[in-house]
Amino acid sequence: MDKTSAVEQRNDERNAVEVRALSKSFDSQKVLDRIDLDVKKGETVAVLGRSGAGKSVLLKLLIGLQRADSGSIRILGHEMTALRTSGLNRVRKRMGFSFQYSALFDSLDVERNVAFPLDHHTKLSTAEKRQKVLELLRTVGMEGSIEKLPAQLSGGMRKRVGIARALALDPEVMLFDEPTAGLDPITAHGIDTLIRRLGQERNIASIVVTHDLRSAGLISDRVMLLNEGRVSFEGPFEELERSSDPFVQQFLALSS
Amino acid sequence: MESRGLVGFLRWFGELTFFVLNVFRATITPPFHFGELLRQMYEIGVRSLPLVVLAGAAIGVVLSLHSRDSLVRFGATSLVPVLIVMSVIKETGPIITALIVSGRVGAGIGAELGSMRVTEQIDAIEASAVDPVRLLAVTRVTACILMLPLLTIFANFSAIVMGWIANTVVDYISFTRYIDSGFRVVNFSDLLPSTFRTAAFGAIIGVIGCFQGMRTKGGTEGVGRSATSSVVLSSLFVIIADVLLVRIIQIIWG
Repeated sequence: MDKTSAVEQRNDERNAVEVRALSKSFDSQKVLDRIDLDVKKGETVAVLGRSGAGKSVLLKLLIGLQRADSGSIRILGHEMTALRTSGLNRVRKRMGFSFQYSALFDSLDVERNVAFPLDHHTKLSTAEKRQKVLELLRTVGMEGSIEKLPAQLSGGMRKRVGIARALALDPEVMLFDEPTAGLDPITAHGIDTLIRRLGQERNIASIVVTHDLRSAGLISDRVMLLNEGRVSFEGPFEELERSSDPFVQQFLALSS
Repeated sequence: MESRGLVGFLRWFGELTFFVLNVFRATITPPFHFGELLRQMYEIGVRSLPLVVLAGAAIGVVLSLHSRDSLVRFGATSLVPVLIVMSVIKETGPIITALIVSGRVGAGIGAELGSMRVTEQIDAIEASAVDPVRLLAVTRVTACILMLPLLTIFANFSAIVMGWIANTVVDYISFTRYIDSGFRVVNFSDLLPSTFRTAAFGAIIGVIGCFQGMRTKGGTEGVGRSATSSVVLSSLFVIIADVLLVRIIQIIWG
């Protein structure tokens, strides 16, 4: 094992995600202000906050869809802020992103949507790809919808297919943007259970952006509460309820 | 071009230049998405064919009627075929094809990519470690470049045939004689540069459509704006490029 691989492995073992002093502004508005965040493999962190608190921006910075103004983002030992597109893509293949509105490709059916990363990054045969897609759809409970188009699916089904696509390359880090927003409580519970199960069974480091307090309590090992671009609270969910911070108290009171 | 004034235009033009360089770099370096290219060639080429042929036919009829009406005053009706053929091949066929494709395909690309942008589908492509410029822009721009000359040939053919039919209704002339007479003074230096300059029009339509679509902001309203601006800007740039290319072709081929 060469020196670089050894360092990467050590970092991988320590934290899959390490964020330090991350800042991002749009025009004069500071959306994230010196954010720190660590996520270990197999750990699920829920990022809570009001709408417009910078939660989704944080996820897009982590996967390199937007560039940070300052600070450090280390994913699986790689400094994302220093990487160019080809380097970013190497790390992205080890990550999965579940979008808020699923972002399924309208023109492709469920099978081709889920197979999209496989089509572009693997040399699997058509039969192997179909087998893999079926396996992924079974994981998210959608194996009966393989030939449907995204327009024929409900919101919850689209979320599940989006998660299956994000899992296609067996990611080590998963980013979920509002996975239960706009869903009925039963469907939302199903998605929460799936996220929890994925983290435990596949040893994935997961960051779940949500404003759903109940969901955060169910799926996360730790929660982080953002307010006006800064971290108001970070720790286990049970401690959140005991926090004396006025914003935390207000957030909890209005959420329940 | 959301910000107004000279600064807004310069910023837009700078971003467009950067985008063109990016598309060019991605076109000549692997990976290539041949499957998507074939799909786009079908969408842009085959699906535009009926409209282009119909427009060519209409132009052929109109040219025939106008030419005859003008030339009859000089007793030169025998020049109707050559006037139709020359004007169709050298200018009318290429520019009509480009403007028709600009309207149909430019709007389509602008709206499709705009919709993909606002629904985060382009972000999803990028998050899947695939370059959206390669997958979406290179394939569409290349398909436009390859299809425009072919569509122009079909439009020219349709215009010339319909010109003959319209002419024959008034004054019968056999198709063989019409073609012989029409192509008597036409040579390859009239046909090839005029037809293949439409590849440049294809590049303009593809680039503007993709660029406007991929930078869409503001939900469904933004998608509408992108579709409209794609058509307006690509038509405008096609007309400007036509003026420049005609002059360049004249300088080179005389």
